[in-house]
Amino acid sequence: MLKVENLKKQYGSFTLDCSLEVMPGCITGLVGRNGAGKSTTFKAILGLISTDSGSISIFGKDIKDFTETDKQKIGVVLSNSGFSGYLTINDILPILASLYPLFDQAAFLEYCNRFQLPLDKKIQKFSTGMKAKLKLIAAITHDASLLLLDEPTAGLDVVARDELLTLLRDFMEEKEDRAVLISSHISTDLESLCDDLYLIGNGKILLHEDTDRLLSQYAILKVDNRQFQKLDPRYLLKWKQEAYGYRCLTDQKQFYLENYPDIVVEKSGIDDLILFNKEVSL
Amino acid sequence: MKGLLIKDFKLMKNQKNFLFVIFIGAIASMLLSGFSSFLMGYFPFICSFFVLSTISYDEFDNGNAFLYTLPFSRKTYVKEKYLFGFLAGTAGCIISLIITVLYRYFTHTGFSLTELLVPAAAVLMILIIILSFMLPIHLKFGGEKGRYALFGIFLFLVLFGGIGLQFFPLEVLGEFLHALKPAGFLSLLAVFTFVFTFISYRISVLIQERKEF
Repeated sequence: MLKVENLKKQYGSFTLDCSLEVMPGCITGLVGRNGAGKSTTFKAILGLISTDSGSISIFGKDIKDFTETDKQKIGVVLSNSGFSGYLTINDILPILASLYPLFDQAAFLEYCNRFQLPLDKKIQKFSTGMKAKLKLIAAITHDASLLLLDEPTAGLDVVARDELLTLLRDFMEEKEDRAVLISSHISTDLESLCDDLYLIGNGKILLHEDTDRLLSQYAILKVDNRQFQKLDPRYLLKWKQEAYGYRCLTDQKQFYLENYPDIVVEKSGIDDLILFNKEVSL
Repeated sequence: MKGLLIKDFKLMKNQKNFLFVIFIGAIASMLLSGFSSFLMGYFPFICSFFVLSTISYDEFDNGNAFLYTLPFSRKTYVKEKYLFGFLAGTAGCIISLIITVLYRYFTHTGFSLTELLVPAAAVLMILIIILSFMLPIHLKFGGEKGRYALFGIFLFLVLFGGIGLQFFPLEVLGEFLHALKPAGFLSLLAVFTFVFTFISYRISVLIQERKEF
């Protein structure tokens, strides 16, 4: 569905060097700290910036050859950009209807009604949550095959985030070959939503893993110095010295649970991966 | 293209009070001065130059990034800006024509169709030439910086154009234009407008295709 191969982009001292793939029927997450390269990756995929090398293809077609018809099959949400604040929802209705032949106006209005979005108020006067909802509604109501969502839940409270994630799940259930690439700072959002995850740091993809495996097999081991010396290092991805001894990241939780019953094994999540990446390169 | 045009006309709606005040002001000036061509030389330009404001509206709050994810090409965006400027200018011309005809009718000053249509066509073409000059500058430098860039270019043209004109045989040009009948003048202006707009459009496309958002 989406394939990014050896994409390179130099921004001063920052270099983006990334490869990733989104398969049909999958929701793929892109996680990383601020400035890790998430938004640059999205911008490159959307053709908003030029790239130094590498290739990006969507639906098997290089994005350089993309036509207006190809773009109609993509829905986009950008965290820091949206419809002109000088327009109202009533204004954007005919715009979307003209740009997208498959725009479902009835569904769009139904969502607006459900989320109590005023139709005749200028978008610049909307709250952060209202703007985020409007962006996602616009992205999912023209029968897109691929959604590219850069921080769609940024700045939202837990209820609003849950509403948006429900919308996304419903969107995926409607047609099984749809796909989503989503980035977020909120790891719990991605853990509950994504089929697989890419961890990006300093412009590089550090890890790609199925979410199920990440949540079931990855763990944090907390060991003292003596336990650390005896620990089999084969399945330790990274470790860091702490006041009490060592904190280790493993992707073979079961192995350590069975063979080292006296050590502390804690459930790991995306946050731990990001934190480990911050402290020790993965 | 149609979606972009709708967007810009919807944005223009935000300026309806401003346009209305300008319109009323122009009509008042026409009535007070008795100079019936005033509206034609003024209102179409205001309508057409609104396209420059739409570029600023598009840029507002980093809006361009999202705008360019919508299904149209950068070339289409540029094309739409020229078309919008032309359509808004034409609408301004038609409105001005109607008001002028009504004014002449009610003041019994009389008019011929040629007398009204020739200046209207000339206004429209001059308007397109000025717009073709301003659009690439606004696309290159953006709404805010574009104004300064335009000011700088005008200053440059006034300074160096003034010096250049001293060596230019203005009398010959004047005689040449005078010898042309309205049809000849309009034809010449049309050819110049077409060539100038085409070059401007190509430059604008190049500017827009190199932009990063």
